[in-house]
Amino acid sequence: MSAKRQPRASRFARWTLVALAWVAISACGGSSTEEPTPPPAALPAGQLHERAAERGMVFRFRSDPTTRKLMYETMGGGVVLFDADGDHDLDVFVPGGGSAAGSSRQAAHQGFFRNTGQGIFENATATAGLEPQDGDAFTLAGAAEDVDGDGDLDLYVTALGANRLYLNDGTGHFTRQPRAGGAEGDAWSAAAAFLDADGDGDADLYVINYVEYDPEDELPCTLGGQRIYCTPILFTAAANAFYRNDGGRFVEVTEAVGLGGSAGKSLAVAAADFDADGDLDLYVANDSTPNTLWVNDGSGRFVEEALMRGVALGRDGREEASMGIAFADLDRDGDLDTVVPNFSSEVYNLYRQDAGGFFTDVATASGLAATTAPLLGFGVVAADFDLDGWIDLAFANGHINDLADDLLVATTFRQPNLLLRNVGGAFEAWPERTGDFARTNVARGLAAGDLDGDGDVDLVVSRIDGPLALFSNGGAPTSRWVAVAPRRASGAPATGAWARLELADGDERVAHLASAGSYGSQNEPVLRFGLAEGEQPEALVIRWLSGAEQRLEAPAPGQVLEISEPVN
Amino acid sequence: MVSKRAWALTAVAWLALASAGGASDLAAAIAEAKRLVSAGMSQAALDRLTPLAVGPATARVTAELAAIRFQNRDFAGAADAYQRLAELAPDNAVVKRNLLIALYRCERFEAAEQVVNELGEATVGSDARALAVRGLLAAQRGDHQKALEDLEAAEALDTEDTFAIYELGLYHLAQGAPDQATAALREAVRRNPESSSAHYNLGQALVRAGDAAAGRAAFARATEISNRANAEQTRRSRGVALAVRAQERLAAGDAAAALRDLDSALEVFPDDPQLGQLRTQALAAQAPTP
Repeated sequence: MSAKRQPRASRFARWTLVALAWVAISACGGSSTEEPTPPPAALPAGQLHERAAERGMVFRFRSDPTTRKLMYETMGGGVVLFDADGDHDLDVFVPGGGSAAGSSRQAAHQGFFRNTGQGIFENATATAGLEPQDGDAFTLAGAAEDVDGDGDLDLYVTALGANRLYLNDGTGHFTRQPRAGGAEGDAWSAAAAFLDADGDGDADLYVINYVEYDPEDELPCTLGGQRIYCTPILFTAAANAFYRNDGGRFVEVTEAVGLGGSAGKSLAVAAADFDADGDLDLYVANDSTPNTLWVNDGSGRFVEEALMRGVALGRDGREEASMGIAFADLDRDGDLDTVVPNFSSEVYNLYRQDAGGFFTDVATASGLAATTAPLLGFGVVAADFDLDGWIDLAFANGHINDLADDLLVATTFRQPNLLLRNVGGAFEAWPERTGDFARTNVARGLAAGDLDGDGDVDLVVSRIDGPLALFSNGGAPTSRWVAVAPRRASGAPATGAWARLELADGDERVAHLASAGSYGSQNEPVLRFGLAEGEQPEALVIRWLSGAEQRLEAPAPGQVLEISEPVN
Repeated sequence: MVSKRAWALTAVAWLALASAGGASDLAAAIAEAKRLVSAGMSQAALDRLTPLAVGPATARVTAELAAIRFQNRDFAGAADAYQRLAELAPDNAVVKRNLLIALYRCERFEAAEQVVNELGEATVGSDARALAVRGLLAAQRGDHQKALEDLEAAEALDTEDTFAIYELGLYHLAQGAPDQATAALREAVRRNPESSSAHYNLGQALVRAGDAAAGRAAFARATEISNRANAEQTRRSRGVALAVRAQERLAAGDAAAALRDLDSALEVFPDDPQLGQLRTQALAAQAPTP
């Protein structure tokens, strides 16, 4: 996105005036500037409809399963939603595994789909320069960020082996960087999160690694005499890596910033200012090992506090097989809660944040436990699917054990995805809206964003037993929402920004732009507030990571307001 | 908590005595099911037993099915099985108590309330666990006065049981009362020093009460207990996997590699006769042909 299109001001009052004028002409994706895409007539309105092929998004994750049932074959990959070409809509990058034939280091697979407008996609993998090269490693996850500070979004791709960095020329054409710009690594990198950890204005990078792994040495796991996919119990945790951004080049400084000694088998990561102290922290979901919460001291140094804060383990103190992360203010008390999907029979966690930055797992009290007990979840997003002002939850589910139906109790290999409606802070099944999303599958990555520009949030799901799925939200077109896309001065998404919507009745809501999350995925960098009947937005306040606040009076509903951080 | 499982098994034993089953083939089937459960094949155990839940053996087999599901944290399935048992033995308070816990665990709160009513005040009031669950149900519907009253009464009813005191600690923790939570969870730890759950939640309570150092110590103890159990599980799983690979390698004609795997597997299972036989085969395969 071109930086010259963004408003800038150094003082709050001046900025507000500029912003008001600018917002009036630069709203995008809203009902005032585009005709919303109507839901298909043949399907019930208000549901999630699977429309990937119809919208041109034809792609399949590939793992070419072997009779050895190697563990990586069942782990799948993520989904990355980002505006690659600066045309104000969401393009999609899909890590696609690869052809392995017993080795993880052959014929990587990935796809890039350019949004041509209103949610119609074309496969632009080759033209965008994102075709893998011979010898590239099995593709798992991705993260988009402005690595070189030129205002467009570059792409980092994690793999079972060497990771890859592609720099964007601003038009959505990418050039691969040697040795991933210094962040290549050579592990099972399950995901990555960009964050400006030290507040120096550029994007640092945290790469999480799962287990030390060589498919040639993988031991056979069996149950009842049958070969099954292993759980990580036989494997040693691989160390995660933190890279400082030095002028667009990455330098590994894991130990120096306090992030050494990570002993988790990491599968998901999110960077978020969970304690609202103006810096970005890191939360890592670990498989069968305690989750870790790395708290930033403000200078870019981290201290692990997951046990102390109550987000390391389940309610009964057991480590769980955690595979995804979503942060949001689920109970509307002004702070971030977090949701973590787990293995079947473990139930998913809903860690409610209490006073003092402590968390309590309220999965049972919130209704999450009973619903999720038979499920094994990977991807998770928190979004207001019906724009009623409460943040709902979506989970991408599917077991790792393809013999689960025969061998395990009360669970299955193929599972329904789950859409849960938030009713005053408690969650309940939502059959009238779930639609195609409830069909059984073996889902992994999940990302949310308004792909068709109609104002509500759609979902993209990566699956290992079927093609990529695009679930279009069939909610009736409405302008009863306020949305903001906080931008850094360069035009790139301002990860870590907070938005507070003040309503005329005195109530207020908060939203926070986290980085990464779900499972190897990335959501749209937009903060959305649904408006219930009768609710009137009075002001929108953006708080940047710097601590500066900006206030926009009477924000226009039905538009995505792109607001840039002022340059001091 | 370990005690929940033990409690479910107690009910199984009770029903085994009370039921009309006992034929040797049924006993053999149950023994086989237990072997399958311990080998991690619980679904196979359920499949083995389910067809046997007929005639006079129905109660005994259903009790086994319920226990297996409870152990596998399939609380909904366990609740269904205990419900069937309760229909077979409507006056059996033990079954109803198990049903009550399973219903609470799978969040069928209304059904659980109904069981509480069916049990009656006299029965619930004299059963620490049933009383504790009644308190938890009260908390769920927001009646915190009743919740506290029942949980404290349950704790007083059986001062050596771990269930009520642990749940009381968790209740205080969730209510933002870390000092009370600390007291209850300290007692839970005293009663069950090997419960990593109790140590972990005591740590949570201590940290929230402002004693970070003691909280860290409790976490360390919880981690130590948990790591010990995990290490043993990992060791055994690795031993099994090595044995399987040894068989595969032997079948593929690589006796030397099979022998290496077998030697490692025998370090885990030194007395396993099958591994010993395999090793003999591997040695023979490795020996030069005369």
